[in-house]
Amino acid sequence: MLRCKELSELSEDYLDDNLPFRKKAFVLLHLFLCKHCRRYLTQLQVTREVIHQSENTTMRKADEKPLIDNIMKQIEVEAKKRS
Amino acid sequence: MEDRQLITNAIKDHQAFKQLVERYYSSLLAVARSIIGESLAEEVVQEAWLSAYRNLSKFEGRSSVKTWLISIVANEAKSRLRKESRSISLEGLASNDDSSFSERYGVNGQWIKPPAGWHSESPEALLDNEQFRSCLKKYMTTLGEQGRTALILKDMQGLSLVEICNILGVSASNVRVLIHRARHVMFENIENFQETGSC
Repeated sequence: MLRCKELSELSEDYLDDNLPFRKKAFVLLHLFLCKHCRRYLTQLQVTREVIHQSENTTMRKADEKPLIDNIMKQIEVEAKKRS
Repeated sequence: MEDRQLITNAIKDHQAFKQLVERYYSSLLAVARSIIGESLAEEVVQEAWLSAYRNLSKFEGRSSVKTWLISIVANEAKSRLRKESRSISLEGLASNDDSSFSERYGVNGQWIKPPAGWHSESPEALLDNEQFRSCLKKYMTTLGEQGRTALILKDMQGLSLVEICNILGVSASNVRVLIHRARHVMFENIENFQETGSC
């Protein structure tokens, strides 16, 4: 029988559906019997989703246009050097 | 237009290169910020785009254009870190380890501090909360540099483990450990926010 700590070690592969059949069966059996690990896995999945979705909401949105214009100016200088 | 076609065209056509910059600027900025921090990230991204332009003809198509560009900005950021004499060792593996999470299990491997119920298990609802978004930014800064970078490359930029290994220059097993530990740190931070309503 899988222990709770061992389930944690397999949790990422389980959520990514990367576990071989036998290990996945052990995880499913453990989850059937352990409410704490069911909650842990649900919350780990929420954590992953929060991080995944957070880029657009938490990253400071730089005003990209002047920065991109500046990069393109440098590219033009670089191109002139080459020609 | 597809990325690879843009790369081919960009050698002679600045507008094609500009389309690439517009498409990937924010992704490259996110990676640079994760490695070198906010203050130098824009400068590093600018250098990375210049480097990409100089090396357009060397793009062999063995990876996606996005991965190629991210590798360039990651190398640029790491090189800048070295110049700034800041450590880029495997600090992520040494610090921020999983010890605090491991302590939640007893010697028999069973929970001694199981996860408490959360008020909200909806990522959207959490991210709608301004206080939470502000805390989330702080939480990211508490991760070790390599853990934070690995997490951003995997969860935000959607890169594969192999691509992350190549960018960070660490083994696949180390990348897995870095990501798992970083997620556990984030898990416990979110858990704390759920209990206290503050960072």
